[in-house]
Amino acid sequence: MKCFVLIPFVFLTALATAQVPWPAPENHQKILIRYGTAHIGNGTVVQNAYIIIEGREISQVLDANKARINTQDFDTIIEAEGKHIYPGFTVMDSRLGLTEIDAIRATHDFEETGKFNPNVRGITAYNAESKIIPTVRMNGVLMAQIAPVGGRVSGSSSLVQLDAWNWEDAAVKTDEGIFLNWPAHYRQEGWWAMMGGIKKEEKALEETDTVYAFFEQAKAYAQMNEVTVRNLRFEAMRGLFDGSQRLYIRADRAREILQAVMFVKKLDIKKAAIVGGAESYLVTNELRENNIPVILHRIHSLPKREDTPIDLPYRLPSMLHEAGVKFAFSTVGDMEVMTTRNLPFQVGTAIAYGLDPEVAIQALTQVPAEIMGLSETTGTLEPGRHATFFLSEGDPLDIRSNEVTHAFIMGREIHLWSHQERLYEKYRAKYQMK
Amino acid sequence: MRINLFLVLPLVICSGFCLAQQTFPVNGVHDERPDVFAFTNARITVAPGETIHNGTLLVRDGKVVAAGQNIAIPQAAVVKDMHGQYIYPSFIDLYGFLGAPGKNDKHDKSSPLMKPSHWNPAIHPEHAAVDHLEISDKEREEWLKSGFALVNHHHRDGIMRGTSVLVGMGKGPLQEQVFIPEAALHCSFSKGSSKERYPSSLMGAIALVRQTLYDARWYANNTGAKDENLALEAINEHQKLPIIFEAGDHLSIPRAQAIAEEFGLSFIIKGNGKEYRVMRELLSSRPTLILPLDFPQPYDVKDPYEAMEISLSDLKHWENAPFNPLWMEQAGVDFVLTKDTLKNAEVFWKKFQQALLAGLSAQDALEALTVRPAALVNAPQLGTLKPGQWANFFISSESLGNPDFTLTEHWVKGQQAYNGHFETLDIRGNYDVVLGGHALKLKVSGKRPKPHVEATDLHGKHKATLKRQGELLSIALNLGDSLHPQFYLLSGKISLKGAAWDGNAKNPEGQWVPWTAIKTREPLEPEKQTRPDSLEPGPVWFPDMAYGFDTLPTSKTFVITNTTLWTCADTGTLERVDLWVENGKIKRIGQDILIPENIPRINGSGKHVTPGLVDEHSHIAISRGVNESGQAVTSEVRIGDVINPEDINIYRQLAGGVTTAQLLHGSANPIGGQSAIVKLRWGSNAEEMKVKDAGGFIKFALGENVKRGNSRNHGNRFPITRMGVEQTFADAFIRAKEYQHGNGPVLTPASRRKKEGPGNEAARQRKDLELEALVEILEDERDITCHSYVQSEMNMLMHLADSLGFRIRTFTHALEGYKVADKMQARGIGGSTFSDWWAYKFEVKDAIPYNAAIMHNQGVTVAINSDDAEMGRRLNQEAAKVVKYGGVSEEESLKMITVNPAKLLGLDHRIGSIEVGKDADLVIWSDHPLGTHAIAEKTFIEGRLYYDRSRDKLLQERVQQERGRIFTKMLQEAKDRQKQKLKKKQETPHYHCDTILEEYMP
Repeated sequence: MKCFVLIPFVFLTALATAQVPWPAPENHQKILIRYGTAHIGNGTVVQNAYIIIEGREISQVLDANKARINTQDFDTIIEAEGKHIYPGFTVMDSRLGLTEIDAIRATHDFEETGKFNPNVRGITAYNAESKIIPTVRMNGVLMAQIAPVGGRVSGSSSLVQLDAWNWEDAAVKTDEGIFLNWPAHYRQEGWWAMMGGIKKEEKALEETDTVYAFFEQAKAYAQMNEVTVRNLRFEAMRGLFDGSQRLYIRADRAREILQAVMFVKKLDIKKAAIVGGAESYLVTNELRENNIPVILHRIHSLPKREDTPIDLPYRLPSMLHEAGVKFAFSTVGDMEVMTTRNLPFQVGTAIAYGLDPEVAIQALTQVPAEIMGLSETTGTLEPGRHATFFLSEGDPLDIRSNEVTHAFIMGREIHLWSHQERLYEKYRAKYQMK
Repeated sequence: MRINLFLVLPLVICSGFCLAQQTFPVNGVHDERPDVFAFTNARITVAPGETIHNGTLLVRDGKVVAAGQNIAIPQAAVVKDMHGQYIYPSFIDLYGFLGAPGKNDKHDKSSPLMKPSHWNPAIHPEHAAVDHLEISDKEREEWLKSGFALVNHHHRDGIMRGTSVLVGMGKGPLQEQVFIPEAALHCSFSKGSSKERYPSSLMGAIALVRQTLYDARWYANNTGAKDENLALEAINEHQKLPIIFEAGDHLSIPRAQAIAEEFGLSFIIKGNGKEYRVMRELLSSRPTLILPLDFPQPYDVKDPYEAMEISLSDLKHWENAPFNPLWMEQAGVDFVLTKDTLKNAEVFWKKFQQALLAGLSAQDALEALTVRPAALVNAPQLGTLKPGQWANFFISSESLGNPDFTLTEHWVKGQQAYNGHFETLDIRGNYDVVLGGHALKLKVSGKRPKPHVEATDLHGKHKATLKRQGELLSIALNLGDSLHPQFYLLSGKISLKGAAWDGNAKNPEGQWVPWTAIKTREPLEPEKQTRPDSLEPGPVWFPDMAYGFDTLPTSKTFVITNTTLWTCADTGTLERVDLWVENGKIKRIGQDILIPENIPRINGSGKHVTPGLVDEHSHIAISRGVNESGQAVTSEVRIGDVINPEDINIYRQLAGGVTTAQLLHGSANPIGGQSAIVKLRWGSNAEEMKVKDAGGFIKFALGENVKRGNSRNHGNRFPITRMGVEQTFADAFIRAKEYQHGNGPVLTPASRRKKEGPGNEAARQRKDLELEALVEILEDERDITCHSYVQSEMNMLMHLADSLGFRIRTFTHALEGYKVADKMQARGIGGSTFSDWWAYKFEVKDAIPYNAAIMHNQGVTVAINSDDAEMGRRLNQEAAKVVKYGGVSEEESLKMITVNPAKLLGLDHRIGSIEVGKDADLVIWSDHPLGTHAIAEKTFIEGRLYYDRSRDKLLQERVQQERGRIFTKMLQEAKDRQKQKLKKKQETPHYHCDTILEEYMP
């Protein structure tokens, strides 16, 4: 019950001091969240649950109808009756913390110059104090895969949690993957505001050869017993060949995806994912058979072509699910960082177009954890996992009912306000609004 | 110098072909010839539809003397026996282009003949193509082989391009080939090589044409105090010439036509071959068209994934393009044909043939290439072979339209200009050959000019090739096989009128042996057809692309029963009510209302019905440039001129429940262009989309975009600070006020318009389209939607408006509207904003999702807009965020995408709420309209069903079926055609505010 006492105090302090909320302190308490509906993240739901937090982890999730517990054992009890509890949502392929203002180049730290940059690390530029981060958490997004863009190989990605003093504290897993931009077969001519025709990329084959050449060298390097001349690029890629890192391949067209799948098989890259995958629905057999998940670009996007079914971007997740292909979500596109807070609603739109709601939750929680090799650590409301979760008054994937009342990251209850609420307060005061 | 040509040319033309040489010095002995020719035994098409069989064409001194039977042939005549060949009057191309290979059609800016005339380098009507005439022999031959003796050439550069020269393709000095030195004035919407920033958009080009035409009138009627302006003088001087306007695309034909009507001119409009897609506009305004024959080649569709890059619209056009001339003919639209963009004669005749296969009669085609173009450039002596006409004609082996048609000779001004060396003697047939000791049979078949030869003897068939030059023949014959070749090389002559050949041959041993061939059989007629003898068109939809209508929806009477009705009016949300729609209006609302049995019912149970959504700020459906960024003040440009009814985003947004949108100019400059308010009537044309009784609106903009802080090449266009922005507005409005008052007393808007209208030649004051629009603002006839972000700039404009006496209707974006909501409310200014956008530029760092709620709370009329083609598909979700973040009630939030924007557009008397008598613009939702799971199932505009989700499923299937059907047809046809490289049509770009178009045309 202590937290209820705490909150008004927190508010006042915040007003007086910072514009951005500060990270919550380490949790040393035993916390009980009772009587809420627990969406485990693996597709199952416990209607009336006890969720027990000890330190950084979830220690137990019990059915309150069956289990007996002693409330005396807990430092804090949160009443969650009528509320829904979810593992924290994860956004994939994100530039959160790598940019602050889209139009100002000086705030950009997501695209290094050069073609092959596997050694460039998204995590080192991650600004844990970005003003955008608190605006994202309040809708349930608590973790982000921070990934660079650009070049042929953009760099390495890392998973962060969104309540930290610095990137070191934020990191859940560093350099868990490498991002490769597969050579596109076609190019949109002109510039974005006045597009010309679609032109065949005459150098696509040549580009593909350079990708093969680079990765073949990297693989050979990884097999060397003794390295005489160290190569930073290839050092950064070792994990791709022993299965400790995943290769994320950005590709949209069906034939590009097919090429990428064949590439992964030929080079015996243990773990891969397709990022974007606008036409992944056409090659689901290959993706399923090779156990390659898809990181979908934002659901709220326009159909790629004039003829494309107008609801295809909305239906894509359910189509992949029906075909047995695993997927997770990103918000890639214009204003992608700012709109991270809309990730739940983008997924909610996919539900309107046929995606099973619990599968949707899975794709926001368990699947990202699996993809990043953290399924034993985080991503679900199961014992032993990080206590990274939130409570919502209603369905968080529906704008009407997304109302996050509490959010925890690794057992720490985080603040759910941002500088935007401070400005709201300020101008409510100006107008003497209630 | 041009002036000299003018002195010489009338002489040239008046005095005729031969006499023209009198002024030329002669090197040597004079060589004047009788120049009389008689073409006998010909099938002469004197004029389209007028044919003489077995006639004689008599030509003297470059002109037709007589054409008919029983013509007396003078002694001086060179008689040419045509052996039943055909003679046609030569074609005339009003849209030809002459330029040596390697020299493109770019204007030569360094030309010393370019005059200092108009301020805008894209306007050079004084330019005369005749001053820069150059023709290579190679291109002349291509024209002649294609049937054209006359090419109307102009410099294809700029908006007002100057005059064209009608030039003949005959041999001899160029001076003798100029038929009309200034045949037509040429205009376009494409600024070409001009380095001047303005116009950067199609709407800017339209405004520039209009302003220039107004200026020319004013110039003509104000002979007093003025500067010499060569461009305006030239326009006035060329008023009597036909005006040929290159529209660029089919949607721009009505745009050009509107200008013609505004100024009482008539344009001959050059189209792009898709004119059948604007048939309804053509039928109402009836311009004369120049139609290209460059029908698209089949695409390479062999890989189904790659074929996805080609749109159904392009596939459909491939199928229907050859029908374009036919359909124009059938509809009674005047047109001529052009060879434009077809690179050689072979391609031209293929396309010509295709137009005929589609059903165009050879006579109509001939008319469109001869008499019609001649009439359009006022050339009564061209186009036919009647006595007195210039003797321009071509000779062919077969009639026009026959698949074996071959152009054999072309005569220009009574002189042979091209000889295809067509052999009148047909050698096709079967022959018995004796070659040394061998006896073999020879079969000559296939096309007459290049026949195919096959030899047969006891051992079987043998390969042979035949070459012919007049009566001489050479044949290479391999009597062995490919492993053991036995070549016989025959040379000889044709004798006995083709009945026999004979000559000598070298045998494989190198010895001479005699050979003879005796014709045993004439060729079999007709040759087997390899091509279909007619083409089948596909359906034409509205618009003619994926998801188009077969027939446009009609207004229906219907009732939506037992539904939840979000009226967005004082009646609030009604449960379990019936909604009766009739004549496009809402007739009745209520529970258990008495409705006649025969009225169709839509079960609304479990559904939610809202007004059609209104988007205050949209940039969809705009052709070729959303910004006119060439100047800081461009109030003269109008989005209404460039509405693109073929933008797929119209359909996509209907699927999100949007029925009305304000299409805004972008935010590249402080005073942008005039907006268009449209209903998303998918399948209708641009004019039909406009809301007829909507008031005038204009886009203003402040902040980073107008000071070009994010532009890659911001250059030095004033302003580059918010301080400069203020001064730009102040200056513009002060100039507008002076203009408003003119030289005399203050006039009422109506009387001023009357005085300065295009019909009023006496107007003293120069009509300034830019200031006109600003005066309309001052006179409360035009409302302002101002792009704005931060409080300081909003405050500035409010002060300026107060002091200069104009009103701001809406601050759009207004992301810091919450900081000045009280000031906005005091002035009755609305706020049209985003629910939650921020962080995309510096000026939106203080944007908060509570903005709408605070403004609403302070009494500001608040709208949530899209500004974005994607967000326009789910405005209901954006409205829901106002509930989530600011705690505004659901009904009030829904009003932010319905009746509130309707108010800001001055249309709330018609749209935005569901009340009896209002437009039946309705959306039926599957669920609570603010819910993320809600899907728009049906969208009506004025009682017409424009979007239906169940129909959309069928359309998705239809898209695939049509693609499959056309792929099959294409693969079939591609067999005997060269395949076309994968090339896609221009995609409709998606604009939003930050779009700054530097160029819209190459």
